[in-house]
Amino acid sequence: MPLTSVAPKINDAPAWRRYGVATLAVLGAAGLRLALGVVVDNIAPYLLFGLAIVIASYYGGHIPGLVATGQSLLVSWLFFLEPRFGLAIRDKTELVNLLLLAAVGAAISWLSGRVTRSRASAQSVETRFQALTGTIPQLVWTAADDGQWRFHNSRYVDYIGDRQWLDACHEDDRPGVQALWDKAVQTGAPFRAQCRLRRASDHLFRWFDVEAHSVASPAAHGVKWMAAATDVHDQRETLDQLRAERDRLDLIIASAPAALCAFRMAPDGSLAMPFASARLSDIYGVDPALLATNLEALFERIHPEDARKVRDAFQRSAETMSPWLEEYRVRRTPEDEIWVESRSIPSREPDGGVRWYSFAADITSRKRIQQAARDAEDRLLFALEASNTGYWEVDLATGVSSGSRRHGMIFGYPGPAPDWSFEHFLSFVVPEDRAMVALRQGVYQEDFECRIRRLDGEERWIAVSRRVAPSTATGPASLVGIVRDITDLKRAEAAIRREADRELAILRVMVEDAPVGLVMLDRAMRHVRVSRRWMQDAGVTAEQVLGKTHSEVFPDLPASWLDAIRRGLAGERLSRTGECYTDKDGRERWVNWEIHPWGDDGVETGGVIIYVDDFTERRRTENAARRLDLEYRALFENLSQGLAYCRIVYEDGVAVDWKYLRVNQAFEALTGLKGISGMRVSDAIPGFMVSGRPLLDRYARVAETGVQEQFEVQIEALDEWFSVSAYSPERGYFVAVFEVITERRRAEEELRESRRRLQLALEIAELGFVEYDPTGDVMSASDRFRAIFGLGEHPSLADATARIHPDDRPSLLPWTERLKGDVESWQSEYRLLLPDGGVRWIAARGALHRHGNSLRMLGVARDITRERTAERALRRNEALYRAIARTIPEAGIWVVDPSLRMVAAEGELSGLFGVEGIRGAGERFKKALAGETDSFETQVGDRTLWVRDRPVLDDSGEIAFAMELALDITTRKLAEQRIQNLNVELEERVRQRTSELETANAELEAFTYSVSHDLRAPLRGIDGWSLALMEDYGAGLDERATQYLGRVRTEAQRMGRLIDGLLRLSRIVRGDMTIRPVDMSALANRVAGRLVEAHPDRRIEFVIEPGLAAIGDAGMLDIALTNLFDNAVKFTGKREVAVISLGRSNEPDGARFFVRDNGAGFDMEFAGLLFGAFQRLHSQAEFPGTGIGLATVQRVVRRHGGNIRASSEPEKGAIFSFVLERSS
Amino acid sequence: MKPKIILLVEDNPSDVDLTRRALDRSHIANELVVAEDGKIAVDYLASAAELPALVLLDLNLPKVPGLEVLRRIRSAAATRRLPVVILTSSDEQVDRARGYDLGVNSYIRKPVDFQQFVDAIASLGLYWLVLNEPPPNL
Repeated sequence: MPLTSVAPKINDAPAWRRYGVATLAVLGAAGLRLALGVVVDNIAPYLLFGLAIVIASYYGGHIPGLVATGQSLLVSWLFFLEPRFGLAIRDKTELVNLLLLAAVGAAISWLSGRVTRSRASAQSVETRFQALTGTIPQLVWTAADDGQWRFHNSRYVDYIGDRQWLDACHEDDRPGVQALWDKAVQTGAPFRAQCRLRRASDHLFRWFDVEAHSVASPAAHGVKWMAAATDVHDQRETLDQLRAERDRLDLIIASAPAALCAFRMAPDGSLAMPFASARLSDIYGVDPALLATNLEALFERIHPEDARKVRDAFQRSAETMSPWLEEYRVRRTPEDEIWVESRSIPSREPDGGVRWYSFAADITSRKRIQQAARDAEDRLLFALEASNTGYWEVDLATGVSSGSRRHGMIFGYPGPAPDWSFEHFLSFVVPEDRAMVALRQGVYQEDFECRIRRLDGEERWIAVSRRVAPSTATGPASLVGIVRDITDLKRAEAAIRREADRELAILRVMVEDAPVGLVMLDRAMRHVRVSRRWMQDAGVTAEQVLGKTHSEVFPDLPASWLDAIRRGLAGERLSRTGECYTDKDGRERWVNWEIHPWGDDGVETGGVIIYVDDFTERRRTENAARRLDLEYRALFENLSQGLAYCRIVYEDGVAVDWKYLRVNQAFEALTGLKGISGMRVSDAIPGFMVSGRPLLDRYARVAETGVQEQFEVQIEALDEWFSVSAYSPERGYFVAVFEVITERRRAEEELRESRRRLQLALEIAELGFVEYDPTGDVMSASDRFRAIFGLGEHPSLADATARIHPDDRPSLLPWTERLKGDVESWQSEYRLLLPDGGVRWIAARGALHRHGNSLRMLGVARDITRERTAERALRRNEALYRAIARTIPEAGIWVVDPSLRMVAAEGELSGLFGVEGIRGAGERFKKALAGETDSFETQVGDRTLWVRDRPVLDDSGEIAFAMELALDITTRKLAEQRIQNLNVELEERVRQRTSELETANAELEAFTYSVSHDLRAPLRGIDGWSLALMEDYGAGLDERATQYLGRVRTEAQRMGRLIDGLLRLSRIVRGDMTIRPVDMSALANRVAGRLVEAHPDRRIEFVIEPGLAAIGDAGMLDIALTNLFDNAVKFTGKREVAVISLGRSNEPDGARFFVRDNGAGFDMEFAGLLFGAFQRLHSQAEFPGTGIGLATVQRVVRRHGGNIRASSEPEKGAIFSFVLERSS
Repeated sequence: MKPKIILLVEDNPSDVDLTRRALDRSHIANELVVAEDGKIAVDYLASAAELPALVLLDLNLPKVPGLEVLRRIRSAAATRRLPVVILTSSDEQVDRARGYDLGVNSYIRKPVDFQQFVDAIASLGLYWLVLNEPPPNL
């Protein structure tokens, strides 16, 4: 280590330190002497003390060296030569050593003094510089290649302290600085860096410009670099603030959903674009740099039909100085055409030109939505798709969800996403955003943005809007949402930010080049030393200035400046900021300067150091920035979007309000709120906090998290919808950029309503709807379509076509053929074969839909199975009726509709002649159509026709047709004629027979009559006279004669009874009948009563079932029952108690009356004879009788249409059963 | 007072005798006038100075049938209330019905058994000649 470079440092040190070193060295030597006393020889102690003297001289100078010598002698004397503390001196040589020590010490000290003095003289030139370094306001130091200082000035110590500057460097800056340093060392180029250095006094970091230049001088004793650090902290802060402001403005522009630019029309009418935001290239696809001087490239992009309009708008606006607003199409590429809305506000330039502040926004989506809203057919189907927006809907009542295809695609599905729910959605959100999004669950009237990871793993930005659609007639309330993939938007924003960063880099370069100059003048004002920056600033080279006086170099220096330097030379310190002067080239220069005197030895100043901070360039930069700021401000004022710069107002850490710091004109125009800067929103919009709390919370969130949010919100107090983009330039502040979208919302609402209506219409029409996108082979089908086709969730086109009945498939054009687009629309009816084997008829209509370059197939289907079935039934019926009509022999049927058009002509006759063959058919049809029915016979040729006309009514009873039926009745007529003839003959014959029969009847009548009268009279005579003979002549007759006479009488009487019986029988056969309901039980009781009375000597029990009813002639039934009962009474004559019963029994052939007795019965062998007249099965002696009774009963029963049978066994009684009518 | 006449319209002499015998047996002492056919009966009633107390009318008569006799009796003012009893062998419903239609007072069927016939005559006589109050103007 060279002495020269180190010694001055210690010489500058205080005296106590220098003498302290000497004392410490001596004490150390003494200590070592004591510790090593036993093992060292006598010389050793003095070597130690000698070393202490050398050290003291070396570090402290020659005076401390002499002091150390004295101290060494004293210590040696006291402790070793004359030991006061028990140490023994060895011998006299110790004394010699001591004396030697004294001599050596003095020599060392003297030498040291010599060295110091020689160094001081050798460094005389440098000393001046070293001295003056203490006066300059910068930190200055010298350094070796390792960067360590070898020398520094007092400011360095004051600021950094006793440390290496690299160690004081902010740890963030250090690696960069180190790298730059290493590079400078390698190349020998100047080192230049900006870094923060730590101030020792308060440990604060301030920004410095550090520069170092290599020193070539070989006399520099290893010092290679001269370094200086300039405090640029305040300057940098100013710039940072400017930059922050710039950033803020950049951000505002970036978040504005439009391109911002300025147009300038020169007085000669040429248009240019002096300023444009990066968005402009997004919209026009033109690099703004190209447009700076010539706008033709921009006009080339505008649609030819619209370009004229835009030019005119400029022209007109320039003439009237009124703002212009146009919508026009921009063709970025032949395929990529967008709609742009541009508004420009003119202002007059000093040179007579016109300047417009303009914005241009891509309103393609809006135009498309408007277009869609106008276009009734397309708006449901394609508006959402066209706006690249996914749409989904969740039925809040059932949880059933549906999403558009685009919605599914945004999440990476090939088609609509299945089973959409919030949880499902949340699973797509990237983990960083998930917590933020989860807060949105259950909040419906809110929009937000978040990142998702698609199914294919790609991370995308999406914007989500959700609303509750109130319940309608078609369904319950549902949650509808819109999802947009805004990744590209986000990327564009990121690109804009990168661009801003680039500008910052430029700014940084500018800051790095910021002028800081140093000029050192001697007393004669000669330039002793200047910094490169200053040379640069002053426009001079080192050769031009060094060694020359200030006035020589700058002949036109103002007197005030020279005066200032003179005052500095007189020892005064001066400083001035923001001074302006004109340099030799006539340029205006702005400087801050300080003048410090520097002294050689404190007696007289050696000169002055002038610190010149030429901030002309910086000022220029600042001015530019300010101009830019003004430009921006002008833009904001003219921005069509409302802009509000606000601060959140907190109370107890809770956001309770916000304060408008600055708003633009558009804000006032859009909201109608004037002069509200500095007001709180609760004051600006009375009642806002009633419903505005969510908006406040959102703004507060933006202001706290710094996360930008875009959303749409309704301010109820203003009754408008706003699309708001909010971000926070700094914590606690936010900027809201917004536009009024009430109209768009309304359009969207209309769209949604229209969609609902359309869906309702489809539903009412029972139409299934399907859409097929061949590009992704994606089919989306409505629920009804899937129901009709029997398809599950997310069916493919192949699924649907597989349903078509195999028999119908060949007749249908395949979908692939359809897509060739030869036919725009088609319709067909075909059958579906469902998985359960059922067959369904459907009517389908389809159409190709071209939308841009995409081709889609749209279809509706309706289940017409019922109609088809009915139709087929109808056709079958019709065919049946026609067949019947056709096959009616010898008939003709003609049917006309109300317009007298022939609908049907069937039957044999219709083949022979038309209806006109029957005269007057037209008139008859008209009458029939008027509701009249008519029938007649007529002659056509040799045929006789029976014709009937009648109206035919339809289901509703209206007259639908008139029908004429003609029957060929020629043969029937002939037959009728024959029958008539036959009838005449027959009647004649009947009459003849009847008269014969009447005669016979009369004869029979007469016969019966005479039998009744004449046959009985003789019998009465026989009986009467026989009795008279016995009475009158009984005495003369013997017993035998009397007996014979008795026989005569008996026989006569029997004959009388026979005749009576016969008469009765004949009367029954002939008599008239009166048929009516008869109470058989009552009748039987009456008969039984008579019989009991007639046989007082008998015990007879009648058992008669009550409630027996019959239908017949009561008199005849009386006779029948009388005969039957009488019969029974007769044949029970030998029983002690006769039991006779009447009842009704159920036989296999129906219910029958029966009369049962417990009498003698009969032999069934002769049952067939029972009912013949005069037939008897018993002897007269056993049971007397005529044999007519049962014959009579049988006649009665037969006359009633019934039958009677008997069953019995001898001595077991008999049963007679009868039924009066077979049917009863 | 002389018992009133009974007019018997009967063509059969055996029956006339038997009737007369039965009347006797029944101790009916009224004079019996016999008309052997209808005409005689009608004529008798038309010319008789005194109407009989009772007419016993057979139906099967020569010349004027019994029912015609009855019709004439009822159609003539003088005889219209005259008690007439049909006494016949017939029990034809036609006869019975027409007899009652024409206003006969009673219809007796002559039984074959003479004993019964006597009983019938006795009852008849008792009833019509004793118990029954005759119509006025007789």
